[in-house]
Amino acid sequence: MANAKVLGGITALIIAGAIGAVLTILPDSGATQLMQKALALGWPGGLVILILMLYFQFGRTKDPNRGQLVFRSIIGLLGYAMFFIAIANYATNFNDESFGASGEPRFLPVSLVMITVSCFTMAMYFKGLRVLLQIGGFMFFVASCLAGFGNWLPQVKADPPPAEEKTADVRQMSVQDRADLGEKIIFGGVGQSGTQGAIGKGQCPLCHGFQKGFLSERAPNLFGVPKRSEDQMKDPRYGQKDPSKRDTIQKEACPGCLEG
Amino acid sequence: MATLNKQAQKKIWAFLALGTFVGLLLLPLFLSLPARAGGDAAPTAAPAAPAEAKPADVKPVEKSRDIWYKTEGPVVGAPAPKTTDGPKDYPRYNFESRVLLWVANQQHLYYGSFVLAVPIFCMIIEYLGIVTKDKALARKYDQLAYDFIKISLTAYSLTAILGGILIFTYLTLYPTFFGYLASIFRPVMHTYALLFVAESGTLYIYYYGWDKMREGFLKWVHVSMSVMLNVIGTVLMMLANSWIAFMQSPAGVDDQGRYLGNIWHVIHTTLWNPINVHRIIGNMAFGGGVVAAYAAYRFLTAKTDEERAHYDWMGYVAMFIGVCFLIPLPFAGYWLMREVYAYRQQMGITLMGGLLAWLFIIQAVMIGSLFLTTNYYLWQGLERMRGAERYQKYIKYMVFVLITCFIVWLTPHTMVMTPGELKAMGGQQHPVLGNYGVMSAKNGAINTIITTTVLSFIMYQRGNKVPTVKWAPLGNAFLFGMFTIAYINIISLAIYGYYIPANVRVGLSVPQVATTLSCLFIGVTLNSIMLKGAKELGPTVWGQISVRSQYALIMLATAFTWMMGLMGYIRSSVRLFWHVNEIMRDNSPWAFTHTIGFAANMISFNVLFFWITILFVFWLGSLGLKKAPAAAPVGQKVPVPVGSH
Repeated sequence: MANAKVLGGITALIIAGAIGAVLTILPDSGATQLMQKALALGWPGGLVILILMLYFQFGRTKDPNRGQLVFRSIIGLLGYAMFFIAIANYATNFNDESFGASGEPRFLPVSLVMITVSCFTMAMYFKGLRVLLQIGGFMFFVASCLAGFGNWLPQVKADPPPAEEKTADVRQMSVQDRADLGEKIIFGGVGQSGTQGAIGKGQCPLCHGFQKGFLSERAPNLFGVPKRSEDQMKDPRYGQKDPSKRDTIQKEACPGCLEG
Repeated sequence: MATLNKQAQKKIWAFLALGTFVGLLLLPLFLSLPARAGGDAAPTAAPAAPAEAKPADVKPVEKSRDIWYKTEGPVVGAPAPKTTDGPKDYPRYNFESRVLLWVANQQHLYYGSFVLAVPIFCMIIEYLGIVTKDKALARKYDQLAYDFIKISLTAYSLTAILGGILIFTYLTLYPTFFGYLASIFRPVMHTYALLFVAESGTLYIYYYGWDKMREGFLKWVHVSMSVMLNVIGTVLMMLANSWIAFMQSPAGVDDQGRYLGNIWHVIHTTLWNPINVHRIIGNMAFGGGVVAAYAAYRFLTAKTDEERAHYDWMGYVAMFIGVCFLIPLPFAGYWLMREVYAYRQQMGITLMGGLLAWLFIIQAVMIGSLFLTTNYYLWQGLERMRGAERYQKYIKYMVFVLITCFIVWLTPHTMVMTPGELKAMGGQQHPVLGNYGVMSAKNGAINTIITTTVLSFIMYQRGNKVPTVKWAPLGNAFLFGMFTIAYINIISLAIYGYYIPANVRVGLSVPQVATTLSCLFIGVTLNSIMLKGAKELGPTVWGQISVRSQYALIMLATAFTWMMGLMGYIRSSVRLFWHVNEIMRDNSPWAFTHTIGFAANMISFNVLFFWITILFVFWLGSLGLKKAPAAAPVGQKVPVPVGSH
């Protein structure tokens, strides 16, 4: 217990020193703002712990466990502070995305890691709650790993298509109007066909590219397909004269290769 | 004679009571059958009447075509509302309404799944308690079933409260959408409410009648009540599923969303049954995970060896049930996905190859880690048995196989890249790693993982036993041969898959899965038969297991919960900007699809919120724990579960 006390005391001192340094040297940094927000959110509970600590120190002078109680109050305060910094991080970076609010949801798993550390730290000193804190800490750890992995992957946000419009009778439309309507259906707007990634209700560009050099992830680029089809059909492997010799087999060993 | 008469009288009364009870429970179902939304009896009958007989002022019944069943029906409902972004259709707080609804829905679903799954466990375990001849073991099973239902009872109240919160969230944040849904599902919602009353009544009688109905025929009545409880619970779940299935693949309405008077069409949409099956199996796996976590919690807080032994055993049984249902879960998932593709190919592509495809990478990681954890728990379980040390040397090879397959299993097919990265790599697929991202590799990897898990289980079954049947050498040789051939078959089919066309390759998954299932069913059954009357090298000492093993159980439970949240999100978000797919558009500011990271954060929040509250439920359960675990007979610490080893 004595060793644990020393270790805990040193850790508490280091953390308190680090917090003090950040607050003094970087008063406008994000970390300072986070701590200020945490203080604004959790000061009543923190005050209760502080009062308890003072009570143990000065009100129970004859209690043989006084030192232990005070020490636990310090650890409790530390865990409580970490917990509220984690909550402040959540509140700051939650970012509901719809109002363009600032914030980085990628930082949210950091909160879970902080709570994990807080739980395991307190589990070392609060025997009565040890198992619950350890189980909770472990669950927070698993959840933080999974959330972190989700945030590490490429992020794609899909906006809904523009509001529906009543389409006029296509039979009454001019050729240009029909072409424009087609462009809107495929690419989401008139003049959008030249933009990589533009996609409309038809969702064709989900797989195909339509301009020279555009990425086509799942299916061929359709740029110049009428001309290409004429040229490619002349390839003897298409077996124009003998359809039975056509080879349409696609293998995972060599995707897109034709045998012959 | 008089005693006999009294007993006969008791039996008759018990039968009558049970019959009345069943009749009362089924009454709401019968009452709801003829009900149709909008009271369409008259409109349906109207076209049969001669045209001349119609009064001049009666409007002709408008008919329309069902968008899914393609049948004609009378229009009896209003078109789906066209919502606009404003307080009328989307009243809100200064927060994203969808996120609030997400939390309310997910929490209700977690608790709902738990309270539906646990009575199924109770039913099975209580039944095992009745048919087991060993009295001590029977008492143990009975106590276990009672422990389960007690946890469920507190969770049941929370489920109801969360259901209320969910309804209020819908009514206050999405009133127009909910109004439309309620107008179509009116009779279903009423039936749901009545069944909920029946479920509550049955559950309370089942729980509070436990001691009164402990012996003889009344015990059978008690088990029958658990059957009824599960029937009602399953019907409840299926009714709720019909709402979400309708939102995803609507039927029974025309292209404007007008209800056509056939309630069965609205319930029985094309995705309804696949969702039902997937959810029942998923609930069981999830319930097993939660109970296993409860047992782990009680094990870690246990003060005596007896307590530790009891909760070690309980954790093992719950884990076993959970994993038994985890194995068929992917097959139910395949069926659901197949039906999704059949319904709308675009929806399938969005799921598996488009916007939501990366979420399946997370799912792959989770499935792999679930199997790894299960294996780890089984290997730790060998510590309980004297004589099991002889199997320790094989574990390192199994770890190697599992990790290799796990890495292959989670290698993505394609990556989202910048044009520069694409050029540097020479294509969409990496020249080496890309080969492991294809379906041939995935099928080989997951089947090898499952087969290795089966092998771990067989090893565990044998832990402290040596078969003594005469044909043991032959049986061992058969098992060895079967697993060797299975591995060769699975891997060679995976390699062969690279050299054949896609349409043939898809078919290879059938022999691969058949191989895995053969190992599971034939291997485990044969091993169990071989172990009948086997020589014991030492006792199984329940409770003597590492603390790490209990964290493996907690890991399993957390991962199950996370995966449930993830798959639920995938299924729901595939509707994109539709409340009801292609019928009712979501015109709120939150019709967009969130990033994967945001979804992962939300899922984590939901998972942790659920676990914090359920830990509270566990704690409440421990407060009212009057009975200590049943005392084990002298010389045996804790009875061995049937069929375990």
